[in-house]
Parts: sequence; C-alpha cells; structure tokens
Amino acid sequence: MTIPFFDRRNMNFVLYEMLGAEQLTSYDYYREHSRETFDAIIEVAEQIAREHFHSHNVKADKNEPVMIDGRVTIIPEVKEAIGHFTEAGFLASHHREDLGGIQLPWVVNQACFSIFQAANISTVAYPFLTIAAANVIEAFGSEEQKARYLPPMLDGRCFGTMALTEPQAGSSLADITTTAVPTPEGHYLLRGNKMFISGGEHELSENIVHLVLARIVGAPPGVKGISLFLVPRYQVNPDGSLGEHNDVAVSGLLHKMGYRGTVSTALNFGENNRCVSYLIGEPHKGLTYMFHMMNEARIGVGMGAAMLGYAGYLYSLDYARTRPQGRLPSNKDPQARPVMLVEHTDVRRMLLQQKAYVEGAYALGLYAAWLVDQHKYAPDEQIRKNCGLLLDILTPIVKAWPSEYGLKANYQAIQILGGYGYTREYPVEQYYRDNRLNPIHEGTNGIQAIDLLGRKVTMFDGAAFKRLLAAITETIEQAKSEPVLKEWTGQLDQALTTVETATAALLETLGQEGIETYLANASLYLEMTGHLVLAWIWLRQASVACRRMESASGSDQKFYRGKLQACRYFFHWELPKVHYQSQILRNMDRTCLDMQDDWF
Amino acid sequence: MNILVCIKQVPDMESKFRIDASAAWFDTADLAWRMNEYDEYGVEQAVRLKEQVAGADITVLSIGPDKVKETMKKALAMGCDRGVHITDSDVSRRDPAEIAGIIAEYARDKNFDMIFTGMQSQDRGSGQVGVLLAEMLSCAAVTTIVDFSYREGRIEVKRELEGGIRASVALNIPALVTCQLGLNKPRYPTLPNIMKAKKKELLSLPVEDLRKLESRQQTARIYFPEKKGGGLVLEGDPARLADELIQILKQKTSILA
Ligand SMILES: Cc1cc2nc3c(=O)[nH]c(=O)nc-3n(C[C@H](O)[C@H](O)[C@H](O)COP(=O)(O)OP(=O)(O)OC[C@H]3O[C@@H](n4cnc5c(N)ncnc54)[C@H](O)[C@@H]3O)c2cc1C
Repeated sequence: MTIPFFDRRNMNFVLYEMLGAEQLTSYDYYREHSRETFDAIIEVAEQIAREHFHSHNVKADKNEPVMIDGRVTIIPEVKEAIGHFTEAGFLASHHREDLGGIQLPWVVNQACFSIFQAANISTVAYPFLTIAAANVIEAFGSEEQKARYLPPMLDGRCFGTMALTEPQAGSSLADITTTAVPTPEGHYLLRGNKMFISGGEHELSENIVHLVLARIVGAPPGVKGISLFLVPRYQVNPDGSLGEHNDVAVSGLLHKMGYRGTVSTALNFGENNRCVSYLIGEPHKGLTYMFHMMNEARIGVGMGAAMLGYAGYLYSLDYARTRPQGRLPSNKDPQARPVMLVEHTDVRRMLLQQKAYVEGAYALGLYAAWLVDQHKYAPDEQIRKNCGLLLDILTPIVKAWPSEYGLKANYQAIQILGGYGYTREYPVEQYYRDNRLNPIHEGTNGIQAIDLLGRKVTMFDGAAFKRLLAAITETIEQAKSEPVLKEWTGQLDQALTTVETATAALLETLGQEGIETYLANASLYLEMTGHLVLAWIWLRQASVACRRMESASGSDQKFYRGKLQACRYFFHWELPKVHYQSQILRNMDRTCLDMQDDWF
Repeated sequence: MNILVCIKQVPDMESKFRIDASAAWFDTADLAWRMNEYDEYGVEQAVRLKEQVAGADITVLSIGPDKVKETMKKALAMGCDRGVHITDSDVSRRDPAEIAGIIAEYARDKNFDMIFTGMQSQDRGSGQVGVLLAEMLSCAAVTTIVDFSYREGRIEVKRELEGGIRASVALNIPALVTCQLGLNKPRYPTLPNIMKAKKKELLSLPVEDLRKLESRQQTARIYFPEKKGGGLVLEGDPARLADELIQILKQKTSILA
C-alpha cells in the first residue's frame, strides 16, 4: 500500500465542515458550482498529483536543473506533469469564463493546489508563479497587455516569474537599482541584475514573462520610485506569434538545499541595452501592484509549508504504526514481542505535535483563502470589508506561522524515523530541506513580523487588529456553552486579553520611545499573535468536531476524537507560551536592542 | 454510431478492506470510491471513437446506489454524451449473469453499434459481464483488448495472450469488446468539461424494471487467505549459502530449471 501524502478526510473537514465552502455557490460569481463540481475537481487534482507530481518528487530533488550549452535542462517529468496540470485547466480555473476559467472559488483552488504542493513542491512552483503573475496582469495590465499575454499564460504556453530581488537588495526592495529608460516608441529599456529568480529560464514553456521591479530614470528614491514592468523572454507580436529573443540573460544557476526541481536563476536584464519592457499600470506604483499579488502568494507559501509538514506527518505516522521497537516501561519481559513505535508515549507526543501544527496551519491557510473569496464576492459590503481587514492582518501570520511550525513538524517526522529519517532513503529529510525555504522567501519571517507589528496592527486606526480580536471573541462566545470546550474557551479568552494588553503596551512605547524600541521584539510578537490565532483556529475545529461527534459513526468518531485531542495538545502545550512571550514584550525587553556588535 | 460503455464504481484498491457481517462481501463503510480501472480504458476508447466518427453518441451506463452517479459524472466529463443510471442498492450481491441480464434488458432495443466494458471489475473480478452481455444481445465479443481501431463498419483489435504473444482480430460491428489495462491512456476530465457534464442528461431507471434473470450463483464466503510462513533467512558462510540458495531456487522455482 502506498503511503498517503495528503489527507482527503481532513480536507473535507476544513473545506466543508468548518468553512462551509458550499455556501459560496449562493454568490452570483460562483453560481454554476456545487459540492459536486468541487469534489470532481479535487478528484482530478488528486489523481494528477499522485500520478504525475508525486512520482518524480525524489527524482527532481536528485537531478537539479543544469546548464547544457547555455540552455537550462530539467528532467522531462516536470514538463509532462505541468502539461497535465495545464490541460486539465488548473492554470485558469479561478478566472472568468470568458478567459477560459470556470470561476472556481479561491478556497477550492487552494485546496486543489495544496495536493500538488504535498506531492511535489518544486514542480508546482512553476504554475504557482505563472498563476500569480497572470493575476497581476489581469488586475493592473492594460487591455492590450491582457489581450497579448493572458491567453498564453492561462493555457500554459507562457510561464511567469516575479523578479524583485537583486544581489544587494533582498528584504529592502527600496534599494533596488534596476533602471528603466523610456523610449519614443512608448516602451522602456531595462538594465540591471536580479537574483534568485525562480523559473527565470527554462524550456518548459514557449515563452516566459518576467514581472520586474525597476526604477524609471529620475524616479524618487525609496519604495515610492519603484515601477513594475512586463519583460517577455521572447517578444510577442500583435498576432500572438513569438518574435525576437529579448535581452535577458542567465548569468548563473543557484544550487540549493531544497526545492531543487525549481530552477533558481541570476538574471541580467539589458546587457546589450535592448531589453524591451512594458510598464504595468502607472509609474512608481510597482510595489503596490506586487503586494496585491503577494497577499495571495503568501497564503500559497504558508500552505506549501503546511503541506510539506503534513506529508512528513503522514509518513512518520505510517512508520510509527509499522516499526516494532522496544517494550513499554511496565513490561519487564525481554522475550515479549516488541511494540510498535506508536505505542510509546513520547512518539505519540511527537505525532500529536505534528498533527497540531500541520492541521492547524492547513485550516488557517484555507480559512485565509476563503477570506479572499468573501472579500471579493460576498454580496454584503460589510462582510467584504471585514474579510478584507482580516486578510490584511492575517497575511503575515498565514505566511510565517506555517513556515516556522511546518518545519518544526518536519523535524519531528525525522525524529520519529530515528537514524532512518536522517538517510536519503526516506522522504522526510527532503521535506525538511524543501520546507527550510519557506521562512526565507516571499518576505523573510523577520520582515513579516515587522509588517505585522509595524503596519498591520496600526493600519486604519487599528481596525484590522480590532476585527481580528472581535472574530476570536465571536468564536469564544459560540463555543462557551459546550461543556467539552469550556476550559479552552476560558484559556483562549485569557490569551486574547494577554495579547491585547501587550499590544496596548507596545503602542504606548511607540509614542514614548519611538519605532526602534517598538519593533525591537517584533518576531516575538508575531510568534505570540500567531499562537493566539492558531488556538482560535483549533477551537473552531474542535467546535465542529463536538457538534458532529454524536451522530458520527465508526471512523468519523475517531477522526473527531483526534481533532479534540490535537486541540487539547495545542491548548495545554502551546498556547501557554503566549503568556511569557507577552511578559517579555510588555517589559519592553531591551536585551537584543542593547546588544552591541563588538560584544559578540 | 451508437456507443454504450458500461462502467462500475469500485472501492479504491488502496483501501483497508473489512469483511462485512454477512461474510459474503466487504464492509462498504468508510471506503473511497472510483471508476473500475478497466472501465476507464473503455470510456477513453469510446470517446476516441466518437472523436473519429462524426455524429457518434455515447451512453454511459452504471448499476448501483446513488453514489455511482459521481463516477458516471467523471465519464460524462471525459466525453460521454448521456448517462443511464440503473438504481440498485443491492448491486454488490448480484452475480455476473444477473448484471449482464439487467444491462441486456436495457440495451436490447437501443441498437448499439459498439459496446465497451472492462475486462473485469477490480473488486469482484469475475470477468463475465461483458461476454454474457454480448451473448444475450447476440453480438460478437472480443476480450482482453489492448489495441483498437475502427474503419468503415469494421473493428480491428489486438488481444493480449500469455507468453508475450498478441493476436489480431477483425470483426464487423455491432460488437462488444472487453478492455484490458494499457489499451490507451485515459484522459483526465478537464475542469471546463466537469462543468459541462453537470448539464448532460443522466437518466435514472429502477432496477426492478430491468431485472428479468435470477442469479445463478452465490458467493458463499469471502475471506483473507491465511498468512503463509514468513520469509526464509539463511545464515552461515557465503560459499555454503550460495549452494543452499541454488538448491532452493531449483526446487521451489523455475528460475534455474
Ligand atoms: C529558493 C529561493 C527562491 C526565491 N525566489 C525568488 C523569486 O522568484 N523572485 C524574487 O524576487 N526573489 C526570490 N527569492 C529571494 C528572496 O525573496 C530573498 O532571498 C528574501 O527576500 C531575502 O533577501 P536576501 O536573501 O537578500 O536576505 P537579506 O535581505 O539580506 O536578509 C538576511 C536576514 O536579515 C534580516 N533582515 C533584513 N533586513 C531586515 C530589516 N530591515 N529588519 C530586520 N531584519 C532584517 C532578514 O529577515 C534575514 O533574516 C528567492 C530566494 C530563494 C532562496
């Protein structure tokens, strides 16, 4: 029997039982859909993921892309897998019908995508980038740009990239130096170097569209002078046929710890001063446009991290159930048959920890995707607004928490396999290596922390933060009357107050001591708020489990019991951390702030 | 051209099977369901034939409880034109002749030119329904096909025989073929086609109206075979082990005959 890499039962739980995704079909935009179409689509995703993505996950890791005669060569399975993904229609699925899409809710899209991520994170990165780039063009491109570039991006002839990072400017995009010079013909000539560009060069598609951040000559310094450009690898003629090769050159490939199937490139734009590029939207608004895409991309990154954690959890669970080792402490008979690993309490601790992290992160990610749908298409304006606020404040958490804790889950998966887990014969070490990227890209977790505390908590006079607290309070109120949940509702209520108090104290510091002190412990703040949010998500899952438990039969009973136990684990072992974290924050601890470079 | 494809919904073979209380079948609770793999080849071949022959029309038929409609929807999304669902909550207890009889009763006056079935079902594996159905409809049948082509009222198929041999068979339609794994590469339903499948006709007929034959056989019991002894571990010095291994291979296998 093959070992599963994702759990459909849990997907159904989150999608239908917790989020009620069918209700989206009452919105006009989704009216053609039903539970039946969702399930049929998920089924196709599962089949393609199993047959074409999972099957070369190890091979892609062992055979990273190489340059042969100036061309990037990638194992053929990658192209084949993406071909199936594309032919089925997953690149276009969420788009309008007139663009070839089927107006699939983003949450169902994300659920399908999560299966591919669990199956093979590095191959699905190519469509991931293409979908994100197409979304930006659809939202901000001119009609002419949309007509020329969207169709090939939605049917897989053209892939996309996001080219933000430069060698000297990673986290600090304000310092990018790639420049754009306007020409009388209306386009721009681009010049500069980009670093770490995923999918920057390959032969998987006929063409590549790079979305590049650059400064128009004479633009104001800092982020207010950054514009967004569309740079095709091959020029596209008005009739859609491909023209000349553009002046974009690969200066090298990067060799990485994980995500090895995704080609990482250093790109030179305009070495020969003829890199033709087209401004997207208005000048100097590039970063705003990019962040539009980032919100959804960051949910995707968080989901990817959750899925790698999840796949490791499922593998280690299967291993723990089938590996005999040792006897229970109470059994003194050396002749007795050894028990399976799962019989040892400490192994169950490691499994529970993984379950609590990955199922929590998974539910959070799909919840965020569901917020995207609500924000865009809910008929009620107030709901749209509230969901937008929640999405704003949750985005840094949705990206950072799963990437931090999904990785910790992978650590425990390796631990459960013991020495075998450390060898390359088992998949868990690859999951760990792959997952190590997620705290780094799409804005490092350090940058997410600054985004949360520095921008999101204070934005619109704290409206987003207040909305989050209100949403948590609503869940507490609803769950309170249920005896099984009573203890946890009390604990969550306390944690909520703790986080609120710490936030108020920090905001006071901001007024008195300035931004430096305010942001000094931002990462700890992100961790604390992340744990509060995850406890909330767990309470929501537990509430559903409680409601359904009574009428459930057989394996469903066990499934719901598992949910309650994982919730219990989170509340007993994890949530209490917020109290000491809050203590450090309220004390305005200056240990890191005061540390001097020459004391190291 | 009028085409019929008969499909069965079966449990995912990766499932954990438990024998049910009657001991004559497995417990169907908590199983994931999918299209019988052999039938997927049948659906694919039918759709390819339709793509070749202008105006061809494919009916997909399945017998079973309501949930088999999910599997029928997949066939519709793959390209079948209409569905006939014969509602039957007792399908797992029926023997192959009964099943073939029900389908024959439905198909008799419909003038199908081509009928595709799987070579067997993954869960029951009797391999009888296709041939019995052909017999009942008095049309020719070829089993275990791994290649199919059609030209002007005639089909040519290849059959897989033991020992790596293949046979090529040609016959006139109307005909029935039973499909073997590897016949083709079944397509995945595309998302737009899943949406279109929603609007295709799916007729439901009660099994009572079509069941004219009594069953001819009954499964007395299903069971997991008893585990044979574990593997054999040889120990000792390598030269002697090699001799011992050769002996065993000679006695117990045909590898070194
Ligand atoms: C495999 C991979 C794929 C990638 N794909 C892409 C891609 O497709 N497109 C793209 O544009 N980029 C891509 N990146 C780049 C990625 O987004 C950057 O690596 C990331 O933004 C960090 O930049 P940096 O590496 O220059 O690190 P730095 O910015 O130098 O950061 C180093 C460390 O310092 C911390 N730090 C930096 N500035 C601050 C600050 N102001 N306050 C507090 N702490 C700070 C960071 O949190 C981090 O821990 C990719 C990277 C990798 C490894």
